[in-house]
Amino acid sequence: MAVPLLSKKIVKKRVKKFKRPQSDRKISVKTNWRRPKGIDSRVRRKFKGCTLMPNIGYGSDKKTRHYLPNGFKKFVVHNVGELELLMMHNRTYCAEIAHDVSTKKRKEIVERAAQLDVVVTNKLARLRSQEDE
Amino acid sequence: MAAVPGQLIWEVVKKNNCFLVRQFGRGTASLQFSKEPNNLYNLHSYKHSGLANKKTVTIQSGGKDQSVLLATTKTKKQNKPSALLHKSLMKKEFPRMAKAVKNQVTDNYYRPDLTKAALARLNAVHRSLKVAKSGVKKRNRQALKVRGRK
Repeated sequence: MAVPLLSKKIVKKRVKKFKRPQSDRKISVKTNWRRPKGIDSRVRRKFKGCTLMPNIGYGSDKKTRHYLPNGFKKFVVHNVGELELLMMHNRTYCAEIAHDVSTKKRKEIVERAAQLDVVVTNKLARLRSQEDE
Repeated sequence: MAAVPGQLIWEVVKKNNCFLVRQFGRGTASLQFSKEPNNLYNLHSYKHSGLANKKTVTIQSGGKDQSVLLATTKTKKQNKPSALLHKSLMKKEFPRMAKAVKNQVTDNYYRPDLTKAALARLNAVHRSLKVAKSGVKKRNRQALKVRGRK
């Protein structure tokens, strides 16, 4: 298995979702974040004890941004040809086989990935259903 | 084609071409790769582009067992794509292949800037061939760095 090149620890400053204020009051107000714009809004004025608002300070370190917990970045692969692109990048990128690829082609991709020493995140997918037959 | 400068071709080709593979992702997660066979790092850039450069280097598996194909483009056949490549099939052991690559790319002042890329790719291709022949083994190339997380 390829060893990721990333040497920094991945820090997520916040893993909870930012909920839209008052989304608990009414069904029509969904939890998806919308910035409060009202003139009197407590949340907008950042009173103590209010819902926290997202801002750029919560962003991840540029060096670890978009990295998966396994230390690689993700690249979605549909066929063996696209996998070959990762040959020279097998320590930064890992492959993820697209959802609509058949079991037969998945096998080919996983096999070639092992030869190229590319990590595949979902290499066990669709295996079980085949063995059942 | 002969008179068209590489920089102009690059400007034409960089926005979209049939070799370009791009994924957009979320926010800044987009990335671009290139499927050109004569692109050593598969990167979408002027330096590595196989279309925009007069001199390019190809390294890929040669088809027959363990052989590696090394090809360079001929500068005087730019308008004859079928006769464009100067191919050589290498079947020797690794150090000698590396020497041949270095000879072809650097020592004759062909593309000295691509030396490292060419040797790196030769290594990757060679290793993949080796693994294909002898089967996958569980190996760790180096000790895992302690990253302070599980």
